[in-house]
Amino acid sequence: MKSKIIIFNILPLTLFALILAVSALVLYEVKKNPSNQNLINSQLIGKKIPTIKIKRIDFFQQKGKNQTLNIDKYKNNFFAVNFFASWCAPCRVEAPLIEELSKTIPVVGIAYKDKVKNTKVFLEDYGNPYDQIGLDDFGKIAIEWGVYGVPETFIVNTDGKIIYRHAGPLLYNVFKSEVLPLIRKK
Amino acid sequence: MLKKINLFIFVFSLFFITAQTNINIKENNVSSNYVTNKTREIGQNIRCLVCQNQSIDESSSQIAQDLRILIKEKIETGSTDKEIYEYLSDRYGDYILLNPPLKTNTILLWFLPFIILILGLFLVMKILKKSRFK
Amino acid sequence: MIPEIGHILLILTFVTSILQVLFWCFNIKKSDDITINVLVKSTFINFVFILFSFGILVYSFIISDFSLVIVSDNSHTLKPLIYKISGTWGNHEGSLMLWILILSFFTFLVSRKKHQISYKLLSSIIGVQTIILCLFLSFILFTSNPFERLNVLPIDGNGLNPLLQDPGLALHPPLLYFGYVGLSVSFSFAVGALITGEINKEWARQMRPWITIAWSALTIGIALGSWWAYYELGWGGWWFWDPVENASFMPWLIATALLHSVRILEVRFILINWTILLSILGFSFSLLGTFIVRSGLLTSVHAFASDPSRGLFILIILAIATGGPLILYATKTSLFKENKTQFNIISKESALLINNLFLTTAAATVLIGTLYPLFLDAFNGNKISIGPAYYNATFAPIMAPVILLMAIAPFLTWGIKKPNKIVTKLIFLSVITLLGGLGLFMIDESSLFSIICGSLAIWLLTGVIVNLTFQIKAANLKLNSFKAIFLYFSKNNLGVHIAHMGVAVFLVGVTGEQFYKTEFNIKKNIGDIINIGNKSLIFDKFETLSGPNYKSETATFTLLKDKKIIDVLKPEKRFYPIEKSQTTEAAILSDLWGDTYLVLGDGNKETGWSIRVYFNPLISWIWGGAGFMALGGLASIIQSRKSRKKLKNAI
Repeated sequence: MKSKIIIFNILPLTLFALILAVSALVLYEVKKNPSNQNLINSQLIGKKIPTIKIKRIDFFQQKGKNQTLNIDKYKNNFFAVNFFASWCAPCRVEAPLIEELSKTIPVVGIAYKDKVKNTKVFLEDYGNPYDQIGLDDFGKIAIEWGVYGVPETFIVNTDGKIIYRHAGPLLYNVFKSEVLPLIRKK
Repeated sequence: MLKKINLFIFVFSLFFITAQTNINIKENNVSSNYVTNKTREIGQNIRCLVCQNQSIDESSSQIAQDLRILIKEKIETGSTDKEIYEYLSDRYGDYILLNPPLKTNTILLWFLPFIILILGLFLVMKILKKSRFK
Repeated sequence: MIPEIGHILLILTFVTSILQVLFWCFNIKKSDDITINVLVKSTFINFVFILFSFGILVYSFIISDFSLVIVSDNSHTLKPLIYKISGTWGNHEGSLMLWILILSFFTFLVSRKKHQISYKLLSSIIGVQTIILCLFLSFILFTSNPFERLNVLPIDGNGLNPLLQDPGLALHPPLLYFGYVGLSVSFSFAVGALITGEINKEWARQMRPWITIAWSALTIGIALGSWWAYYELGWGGWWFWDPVENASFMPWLIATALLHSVRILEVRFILINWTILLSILGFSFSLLGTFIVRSGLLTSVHAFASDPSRGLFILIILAIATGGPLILYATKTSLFKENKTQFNIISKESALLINNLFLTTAAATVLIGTLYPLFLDAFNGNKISIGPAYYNATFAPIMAPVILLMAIAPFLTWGIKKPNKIVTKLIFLSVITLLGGLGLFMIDESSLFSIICGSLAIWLLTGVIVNLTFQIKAANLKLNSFKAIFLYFSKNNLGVHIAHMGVAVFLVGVTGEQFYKTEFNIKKNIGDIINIGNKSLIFDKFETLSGPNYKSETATFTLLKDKKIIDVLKPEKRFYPIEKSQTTEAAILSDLWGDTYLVLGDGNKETGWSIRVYFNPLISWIWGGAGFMALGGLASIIQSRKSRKKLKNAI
C-alpha cells in the first residue's frame, strides 16, 4: 500500500525528467539542422520515378506536332528533374546552379503551372540549361512527384530511381556537399 | 409542481432555440451535392503544406486549390476515402494527413490517453477501496 | 538616456532579488518580524523598479523611439496610439516584461497578506516567487533585453503585424499572464508548504482566491484569443488545437482541477497530495507554454521570433522550477497528514476525485497531441500532423464523463451521508435529456456527435437548474419578486451554479456552431441579390477607402429577412503598405441566435467578386459561456470575502 503512494509521488518526477530529456534532444537536433526543420522529406526516395509523360515544350515547334517528354533516352544514366516557373523568384536565384548541374548530367525542366510564352521569356533572361522541358500546366505532375512548391530538384539514378530531392532553390553548399558526390558515384 | 414547470420550460426552450436559429435553411442558389460535401470533408483532413496549421479546405493557397481539384476528380471517378488519403500520403507522407493514421509509430499517440485514464482509475479505486470506501 | 535607466532598473531588480533569495535561504524557517519585514519591503521595491522599467518601455513606444531595436522592429509613427501602447507586449521581449511586471505585482499583493498568513509560510511563498522572478530576469537580461539600441537610427519603424492591431488581441496577453502568474502564486503556496511543513486548512483557505482569480483570468484570456481568431482570420474558425492555443489550454485544465481540489481540501482536508501536485503542475504547464512559444520548436500562427539558444535557457528554467518542487514532492510525503474519514463510493469526495483524474488526463492528452509530432520527428525523422480529428477522438470522450458528473456532483453529499432524493433527480435529468436528444434527432443536419454534444449541454443545464431549485426550496424562500431574487443572489455563494451554467451555455454554443453551421461560396457582382432561405443579401456597392495606416476595399451588403431590412454589412480587404501585408476584415452580424458572417474575396467589376457567406448558429453562446464561467469565479471570490468578513466581525 505504501509503495503505491510512493509510485504516485515519484511518477510525476520521472515523467517530467523524461519529457525534459526528449525536449533537450529535440532542441539539439534543431540546433544541428536549423534549415531542415520545416521541410518535409520526399516519400519517393528509393522509388522509381512517377509518370512524366507530359507535353513537351519545343520552342522551334512545328505546327501540329505534339511531342511528349522522352525519358527513355536517359536509361542507364543519371539525370535531374527540376520543377520551376517563370513567376517563381527563387528559381531565378538558382538558375546559375542548374546551369552548373546541367554540365555534369542532363536536366529535365518541368514548367509548373505556367504558360509557354512566359517560360520562353524566363529562359531567354536566365538561360536554358534544360535538355528537355515539359509543361505541367495544371500542376498534376507535380502532385505525382510530391512537389508542393517551386523550385524543387530531383536526382534520378541509372535504375530510374529517385535518389535525392531538394526543395527550395538549390544552394551552392548543398550542391557541392550533397548533390555532386551522388552524381560522381557513377 | 416546480418540476413540471422546469420540464415545460426546457422542452419549449429547445424547440424555440431550434426555430430561431433557422437551422433548416434551404439553399436556393447554391448546389450542395455529394461530391462537394465529400470534397470538403476530405479536405478538412488534409494539411495545407505551405500554411501555418490550416487544412486545404480553409486555405486559399495554390497548392490547396490544386489538391481540392484533385480530390474532387478522384471522388467523381469513384475513389474511396481510404484510397484518396493513401494516394496523398504516398506522395507527401503522413504529414499531409491531419488525422494521423494508426501505424506502429502512432499507436502510443492514439492509445496513451486511454491507458493513462484506465490506469489512473484502477490505481485510485484500489487505494480507496482499502481505506476509504464504506 | 531614458531607456538606459530602464535597463539599469532591471539590473538593479535582478541584484536585489538575488539578495532577497539568499536572505530567505539563510532565514528559511524563521518567523520573526525582521525576516518578514525585509522580505515584504524588498518585494515592494522589486515591483516599483519593474513598474518604472516597464513604464519607460511603454514611453519609448509612445514617442516612437526608433533607436531601440524593439520599437523599430515592431512599431511605426503612423500606428494609432492605442496600438503603439499595446504593441509594447506584442513581441517577445515586451511580453516578457509584461510577465515580470504582473509577477512582481502579484508577489507584492501576496506580501500584503502579512496579517493573514503565518510569517514562516509567507516568507517561503515570497522566497519562491522571487526565485521565479530571478529566473525570468536572468532570461531577459541575458537573452532578451528590450532596451537594446540600434547603431543606426532608422527614419521609421517596421510597423506592427496588422493582425495584432486589434483591441481583443491587446487585452489577450495581459489576461493570460494574469492567469499564469496567478498560478505561480498557488505554486509558491504549495512549495512553501512543502518547505515549511505548514499544510493545514488555513493554508488552503488562503490559497483558494489566488487560484480562482488565475482561473477566471485564464478563462477570459483564452476566450478573447478564440473570439479574436474567429473575427479576424476570416473563415469562422475559433479553435484549431494549434500548439500555442494548447499551451494556454493545458494550464486552464489543471487550474480547473486545482480549483475543485483546493475546495475539497478546505472543507474536508483530504486530497492534499493532489492539491500540491496540481499546484506545481499548473505553473509548470504555464512555463511549458512559454517554452513552446519562444523556443523555435514549433511553427504556429503565433510563434514569436524563434531561437533555439533561447529555447535551451528556458529548458533549464523549466528543469529548475519544475524539477525542484517535484523532487520535494516525492520526498516529503510524510507531511501529508490527511483527515482519515471515510466516504461512500457515491459521494462528493469521490466525484471530485474522479474529476481531478479526468481533468488531469485531459490535460495530458492535449500535451501528448502537442508534443508527439516533435518527439516522433526527433526520434526517427517521421513527420506527422495532428489536427482536430485526433482531439475529437481522444479529448472529447474524456471530457464527456466530466460534463455528466458536473451536473450530478452538486446533488451528492459529503462522507457517509446518503444524498437526498438522488434517484428522483437522476430520473428527471435523464427524461429531459432524452426529450432534448429526441428534439435534436428530428433536425435534418443532426449527426451522432451533434446529438451527444447537445444532449450533454441539456443534461448540464437541467442539472444546474434543478440543483438551484432544490437549494432555494430547502431555504424555504419565496422568490416572488426581483428584489427577493437579487437579495438571494447577493447573500449566497452561487459562483458554482453560475460557472457550471457557463459550461452548459458554452456547450450549447459549440453544438450550434460545430454541427449546424452552413457556408456558401459564390461569385456576385454589384446589384446582385443572394437568396438563402428567408434571408437575402443585396450587393449595394464596392469602394476603395483609406484608413490611418491602411488602404481598404470595402463592399456593402444589405441583409434582409422576410423582405425587411435588418442591417448593413461591410466586409473589407485591407492592405497595410508599411508592413506589406493584407488582412480580410469579415463583416459579422451577431445576435443571440447566431452570426451572419460575410467575407470578401478576390474579384473585379467585370467578373464580380467571390463572396463567402457563413451562418453560425448560437456561436455567441461560446463566448457568453466563457463569460459566465469567469463571472462565477469572481462571484465566489466576492462571496468568500464577505463570509470571512462576517466571521471576523462575529468574533
